[in-house]
Amino acid sequence: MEKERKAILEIEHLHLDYRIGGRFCHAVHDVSLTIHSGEILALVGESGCGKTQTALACMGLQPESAHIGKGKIYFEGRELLSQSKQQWNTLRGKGISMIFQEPMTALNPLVKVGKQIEENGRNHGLGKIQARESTLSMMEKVGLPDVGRLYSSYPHQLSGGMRQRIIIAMALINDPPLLIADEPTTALDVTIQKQIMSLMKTLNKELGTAIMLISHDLGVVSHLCDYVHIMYAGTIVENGPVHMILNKPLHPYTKGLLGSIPSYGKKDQRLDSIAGIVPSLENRPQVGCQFYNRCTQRMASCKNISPHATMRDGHMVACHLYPEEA
Amino acid sequence: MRQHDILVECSQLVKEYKGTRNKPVRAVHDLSFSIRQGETFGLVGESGCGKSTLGQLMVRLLEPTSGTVRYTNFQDGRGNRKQEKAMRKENQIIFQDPYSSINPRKRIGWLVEEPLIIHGIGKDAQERKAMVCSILKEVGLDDSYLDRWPRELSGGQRQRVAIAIALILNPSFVVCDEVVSALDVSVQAQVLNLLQELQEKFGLTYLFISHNLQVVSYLSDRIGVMYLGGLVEMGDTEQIYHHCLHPYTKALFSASVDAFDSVKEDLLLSGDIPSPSRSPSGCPFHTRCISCMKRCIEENPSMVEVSPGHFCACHLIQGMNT
Repeated sequence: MEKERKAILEIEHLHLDYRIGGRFCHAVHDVSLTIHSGEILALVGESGCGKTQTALACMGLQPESAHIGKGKIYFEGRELLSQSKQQWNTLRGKGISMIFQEPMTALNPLVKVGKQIEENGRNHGLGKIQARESTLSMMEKVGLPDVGRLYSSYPHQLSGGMRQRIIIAMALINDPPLLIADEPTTALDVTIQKQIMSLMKTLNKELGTAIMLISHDLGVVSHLCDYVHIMYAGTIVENGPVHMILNKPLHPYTKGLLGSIPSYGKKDQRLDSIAGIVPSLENRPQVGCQFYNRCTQRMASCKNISPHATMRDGHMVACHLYPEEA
Repeated sequence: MRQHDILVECSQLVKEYKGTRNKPVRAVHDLSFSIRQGETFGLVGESGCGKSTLGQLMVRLLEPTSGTVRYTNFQDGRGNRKQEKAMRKENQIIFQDPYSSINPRKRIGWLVEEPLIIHGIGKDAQERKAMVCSILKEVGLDDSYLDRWPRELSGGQRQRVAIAIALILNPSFVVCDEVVSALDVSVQAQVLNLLQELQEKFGLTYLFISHNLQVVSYLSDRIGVMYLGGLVEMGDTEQIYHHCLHPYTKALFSASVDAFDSVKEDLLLSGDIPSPSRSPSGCPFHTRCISCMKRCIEENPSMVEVSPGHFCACHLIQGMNT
């Protein structure tokens, strides 16, 4: 089983910096991850942790001001960062697709939704009739009713959940091996969120599309994903299979994230929140553990020495509490 | 700890807005319930079901089309400006988005002091400043924040300022309208802890509005579930969490994903919430209900007390009882 799974996307030691006040500040610092075909992988963390920046770098959509210093991104064995603009254009939407958080703003309000889905197919070489056919069948696949009528409706005539389905249809029309979903359900109501989640799971099974899910909601992640990477201040602090991370978290940040989730079971107890907030780019420590200031279990060595990734209980953790076994 | 004196009571509350071609849009429809002294009443529902309208009706930011909101320990003050001002002092509301609910052109100290000036509390600037400092300390901010601008603060800090502004007048009833929705999960936990501490310290009564069921079931003593402007189920948190009866409540709890609790009935609601300007006949939920009967399309069920304190409006339940 393990051998069959092919790595779709490999990120190796990615560094993404912004120049603020004459020096480079790390938005993404030494991030490595691998997504295999058919897998759903999650990047979890608070806002400002570099999740979206990592995803944008995979699409070549990072802002002009961003500077990728070190690192390589391989997609199906091909190096992405040295690509020309044209190569990027053929890749986006066909090799890797991305869906964004706000279904309200991601669609063009002046163009019929069917045409918007079709456009992505046409750009990647589908003929006119073929594109229309696959648009309609894709719209059916994402669970939209009465596709003939919806094809010629405008975004404002649709609800949030339907718009998100349209965006998913648009992303998947060329049957890409990898879909990056940046907080796809955050702006939606719980019942609609559940619909979209089960849709993504079905599409993952039926089409075999690998999904990189970016989320801050560990509830969504636990129901959808196989593998989780926890990000804090631009670095991956812990990763592993989802049940491992949820049941046996090791890093104090992961523990804090899980402790912060309110639930009926924790009634009349104080929530174990993490004090403080994610430091802004320019206020991040140059050396030592990024989580030092908010950590409840910090030690002297945490301040000056950056922790290295070690394997513990089947998952990776970067924390001085878990020293490398000699 | 829990007391059973009623603090706020709504009866047959209706709020209609004028829609296109003067067609009425029913945001809140024939709603009756009461909130007890010292409790946290959680209100859940999807967006567009009238939660926020109800919250604003309860602090009289909106005037109801018909029906009444009655306060037991202070005058409602309708038509009497002096009493109305006193009523405003007792009722406060905290809004969802701390980025737009605070005036960006004023310093924090000024913002928190303003309610004191309006209500003529405190002899002089110095006494007021002392009060401002003490309330800021209660919400976890120190004196250095007095001269800061809202733009210098993070989302969680701004929400703390909004809480300080609401609490400086020492109100008895506070409506929290989605106060933690815009915050990150760790900051959300900080604010939830703070709200609970303040409730114990000042004996506050909360109406806690949220679409997040985990938050509501964590914080509330009682929960009301709203759908299309009306309550469909209401009861103690335990009753609602473990023994909910209405199909909508069941679907809502099934849809809310809990990181720790993976064994759950899988109930998937189809479709979206109907627009309140074209609310369906009979039971408002029948268009999405999995156990819809003929009776549901024709007749709107009324609230029935299923067990002490647990109310539900559904024909299924009524069929069971009779």
